[in-house]
Amino acid sequence: MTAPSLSVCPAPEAPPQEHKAPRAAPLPTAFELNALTIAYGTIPVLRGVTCRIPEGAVTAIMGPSGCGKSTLVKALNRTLELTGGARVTGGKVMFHGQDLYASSVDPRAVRKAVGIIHQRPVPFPMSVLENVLFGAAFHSEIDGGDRTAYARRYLDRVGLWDEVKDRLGDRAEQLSGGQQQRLCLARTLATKPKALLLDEPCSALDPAATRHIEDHVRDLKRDFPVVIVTHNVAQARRVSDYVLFLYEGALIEAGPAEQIFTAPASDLARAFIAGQFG
Amino acid sequence: MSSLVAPLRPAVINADRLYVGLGWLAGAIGFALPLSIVGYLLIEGVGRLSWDFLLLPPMGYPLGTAGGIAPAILGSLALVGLGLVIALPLAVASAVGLSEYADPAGMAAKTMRFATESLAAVPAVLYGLFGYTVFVVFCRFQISLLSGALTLGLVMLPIILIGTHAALQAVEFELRESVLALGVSRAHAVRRLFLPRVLPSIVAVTVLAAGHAFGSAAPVMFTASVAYARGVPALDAPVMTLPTHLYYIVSEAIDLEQAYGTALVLVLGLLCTNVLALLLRRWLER
Repeated sequence: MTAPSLSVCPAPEAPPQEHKAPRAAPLPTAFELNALTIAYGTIPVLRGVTCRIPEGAVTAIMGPSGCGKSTLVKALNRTLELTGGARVTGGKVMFHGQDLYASSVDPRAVRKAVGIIHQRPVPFPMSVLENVLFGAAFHSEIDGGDRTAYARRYLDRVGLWDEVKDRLGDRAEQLSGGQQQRLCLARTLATKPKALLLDEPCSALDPAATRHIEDHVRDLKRDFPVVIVTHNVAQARRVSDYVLFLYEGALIEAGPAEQIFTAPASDLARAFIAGQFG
Repeated sequence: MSSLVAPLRPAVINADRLYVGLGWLAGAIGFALPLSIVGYLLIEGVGRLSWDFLLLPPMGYPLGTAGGIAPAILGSLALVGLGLVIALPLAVASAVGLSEYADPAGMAAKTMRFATESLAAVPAVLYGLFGYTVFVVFCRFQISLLSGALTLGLVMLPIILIGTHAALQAVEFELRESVLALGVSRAHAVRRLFLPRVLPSIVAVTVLAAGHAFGSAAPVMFTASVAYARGVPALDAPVMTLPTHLYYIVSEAIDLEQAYGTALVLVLGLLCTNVLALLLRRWLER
């Protein structure tokens, strides 16, 4: 298939929800992707994606299974290369003007700066407290301060403190699925990232836990750009300000959420949003 | 009127019965074999078991017709213990390097894996000859506890390495991805997450290797053991071992009853170690 013409996510004229983030100027760019091409072995999975992901907003990456959503989002913090055989074969990922794939850049520093939450929560086999502090302690973010107070700040942030304050020493595996996912969110936030990626964070959760996560996603964008991968159109509609629509490894459409959901430019996006395939 | 729930064909049902029967038979053999070995040794050897047998050195003429096997027990324990001190850290470190740092598709990792697997298949007597050539003669460690422990270390190394490597490879990709996604170093992830996760497997495979080494006569025959030694084992002195003592008194037809007693102690020792390892493993997995 020939790559369709690549649309560039336009800089918005005004913030979408003025009551939440009153800003006059267009939102600055957080990530800038330039002809990003990725392959697993010899099989191409992303074909020259060019777009911008704005600061202070939730950007949803939508598309059917296997379209390269997860690949794209993992490329944004260099966790993609943890998967054997996956590599960036062309193009650039810039984060606030810095080339994340430059040879001088330490991938671990990229991963600290751009946190990620995966599909299924993976609590580490240790206590709730140790889970929250795992990354932060490694990066010396706590610096001899009160460990519990530090953990509380991030557990509060994800609405988990009241639920676990008496169970900080318990094994994290004992929490419910929704609690585990919020624990993972707290663990990532505790490393003080400058951007947050969520790779279908609710696919293993029930509706109540999903709503919980979505509330936090909307809240978190005040601090940094949030990118959420979802194949769930309704979820993208609920949480996102901007949408990237991928199909078979190519970016088909990009733009403000209300535009894409009400008047998509491409037939593919229109059919996907209408639920004709997924 | 036939029921809607039609019975399966008799051939299918019988084949399934046969399959289950064969499965039970195979299981029963696997269960009966060690049981009958221990039972046989118990019947033949339990008469010799006494505190004297465990605590005294061999006596009588020819040597071994009376007395006990205390120096052999001590010697075997010292050899395996010291061998583990050498082999365990080396094997775990190699497994971590191979699993976490080497490029799995690269030539270096493939060659190392192949070499390790070959090493595990080398006959025990070759280890003995190698140990004799290198440690006893070339390094001039003489026939001693040190030479034997180094040789037994070589016997245990590939077993522990392969087991630890397999356990590390079995660590879920999701866990690996989640921890490295926090930007922590691989060393930190290995130390705090991966090694604790595979610790039960390391314990299991270490006991397997130690049991194998504890019962092997060939590797220590030319490197460490003598027919008679007494006192506390010393690094630069030869020792007695259970398997070589057993070999000696059986091959010289000294006293069959002493031999059964020795074999029983050897097997019970292995059994106790395995039970302890099982308990330790269960405690670690809790």
